[in-house]
Amino acid sequence: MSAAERFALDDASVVVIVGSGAGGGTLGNELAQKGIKVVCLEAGTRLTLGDIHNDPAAMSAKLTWLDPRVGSGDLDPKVPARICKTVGGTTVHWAGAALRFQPHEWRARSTYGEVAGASLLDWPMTHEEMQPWYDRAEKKMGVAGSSQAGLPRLPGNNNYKVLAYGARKLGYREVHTGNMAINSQPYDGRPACLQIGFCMSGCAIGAKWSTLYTEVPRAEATGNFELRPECHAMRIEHDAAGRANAVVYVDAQGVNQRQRARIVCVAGNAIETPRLLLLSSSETFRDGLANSSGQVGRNYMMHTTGAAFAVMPGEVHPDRGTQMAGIVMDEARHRTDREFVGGFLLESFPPQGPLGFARRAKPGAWGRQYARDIEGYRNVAGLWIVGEDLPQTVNSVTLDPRVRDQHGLPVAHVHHVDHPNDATMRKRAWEVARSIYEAAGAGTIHTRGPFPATHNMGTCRQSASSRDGVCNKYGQTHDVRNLFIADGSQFVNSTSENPTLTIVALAIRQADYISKKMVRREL
Amino acid sequence: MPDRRRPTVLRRDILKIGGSATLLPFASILELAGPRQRAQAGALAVDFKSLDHAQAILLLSVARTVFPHDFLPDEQYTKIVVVIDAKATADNAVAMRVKEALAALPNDFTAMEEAKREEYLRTLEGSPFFRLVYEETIAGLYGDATVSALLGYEGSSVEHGGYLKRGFDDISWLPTDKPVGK
Repeated sequence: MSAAERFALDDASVVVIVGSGAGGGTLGNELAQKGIKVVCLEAGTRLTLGDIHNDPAAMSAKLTWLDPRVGSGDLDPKVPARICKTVGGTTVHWAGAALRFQPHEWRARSTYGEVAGASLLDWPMTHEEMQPWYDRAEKKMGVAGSSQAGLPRLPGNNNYKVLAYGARKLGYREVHTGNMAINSQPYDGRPACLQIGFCMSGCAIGAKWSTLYTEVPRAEATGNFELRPECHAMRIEHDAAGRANAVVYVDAQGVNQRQRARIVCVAGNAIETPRLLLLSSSETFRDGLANSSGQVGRNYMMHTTGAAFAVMPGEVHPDRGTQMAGIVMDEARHRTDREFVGGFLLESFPPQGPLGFARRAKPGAWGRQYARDIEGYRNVAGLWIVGEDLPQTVNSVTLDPRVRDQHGLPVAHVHHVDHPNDATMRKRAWEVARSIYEAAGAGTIHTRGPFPATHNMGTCRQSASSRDGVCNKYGQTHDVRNLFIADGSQFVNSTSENPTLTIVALAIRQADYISKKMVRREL
Repeated sequence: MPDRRRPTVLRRDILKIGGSATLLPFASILELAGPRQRAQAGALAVDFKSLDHAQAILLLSVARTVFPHDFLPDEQYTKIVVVIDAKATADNAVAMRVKEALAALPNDFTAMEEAKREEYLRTLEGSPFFRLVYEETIAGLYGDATVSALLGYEGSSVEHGGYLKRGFDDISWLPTDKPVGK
């Protein structure tokens, strides 16, 4: 890679992007490729492939955002959610599932109708409108199973085979190894997957797409992109006309800096993005930047999740091979004959070691019977439930009135309670999971509720009207026209699909929009 | 997401336990393992700082009851006692809590049938003492590389070229028919 150009702090012609993950990293590269100057502020450190080890505990410590947070509702009071704090963001950690939203999911309010307690909306754009951007995202990322990348699906590991056998026996038909941004063959200068396992600890060979070793170095190679790692954005400033004009951040040496900006794009994950807007309140924007709707931080969604772990009659060695090795999609379809709206996916998921199994399969369990289950570790199969989590106004990211971080800033207070629809869906998903493993001959089956995951969405949602959302269909905020939301915060509903592919597709589209507007001097 | 281990054990306080068993097949391990409840018969060759010897043996019995694995020797559980002893040494409140709870156990606790011991400990489940022993046992046992290897965890694979050619899809017991559903 070429030496990154240094842009001056007072260079007011740059686009400042906060975050280098699926949204920020992609957007930065797309803009840089078009000749637009970008400064990317990333709170985390920059790892290389050599820093990535098959050690979940050590990697979790390296990758995770460990600054304090507060949780309430159903969430852990200290670890309410998980995001990554590293160059590449959650694309270092993600399992690689790259699924398009289903057509009806762009029209959740129209499809599901009025659901009491839910703040459903339709997206301000259509399914058809997004397809070309999905095409480009799949090609960029090398999504195995997509026609765009031309890569076949990955082979399935043992854990997948158990899931697939049980599911097919029950009559499920949409059962396969998923559309995964993991190379099934060498692609784009990166090697094919070696079925190492440990995907969520970072892929040590770079077979899984991550902005860490794709978008970021390519953006740097243009000379138009400067990454500033270990730079934590503290506040977005604006001029008298209400246009964003600078980002104040604390750099790696702990010194406060102020980078001037022509455009500011925020991609700090749906926890930190609304926090930054709320921290940027001013005389003009008393409730936080771009928050005239009051929707900044609202409608926090994280997917309706849960897990099942089953002790099978023979060896599975669930940690071998890709961690999200297969998927059952039949239940993801919206149907009118169920007690809930939306749907859910079942994705194979390993227990990640006896400690992971002991802690996760049945939290708090102990004694002879449970010890016996643990002794069956070799035989364990597992899956994760990913279902639609309905948006609710009450579920939110706010500034905690008491706890401050190491920079003296109020931390994110994350609140989430299940909507009754979520609870009903999860119950159904557990039943299905149980039936699948029973059909494959399981002994003991443990089902359990959510644990903190990196799927965070909805806290600066898109909307057609500036009254009920934060940004338009390009992620451009309704209130501040040179301020953009470039991550999963934009999501209007969580859908049942893993969020990354859609975040990447939206970022590519946003870059196209921004560059055209810049050419026309409208930004 | 993965749970973090606490590396608080003082190496010099730990008995030397055979790490050579790591790669043996499971069945061999079962043969190697001594009878459980050895703590009752033998002395623990560790100097504890806060706990006395009888307390240590009692605590070991509690830890083994929480996660009983017959193939593991007492030395493995002793490591957990060492960790709790170190915490008790560092914090008088912990020492008091542990010693009081141990003193309140039935006199014949270590001699009781495992089911009875488990039944008794169920009554303590919410107590700080139980939470402490539970937490140290789950982390100390399953976070231990030797134990997790004995349980079938294969650890880092990248240096072996992953599992592409080492059995990622070698499942043999599933029926090979393509089931057709209802």
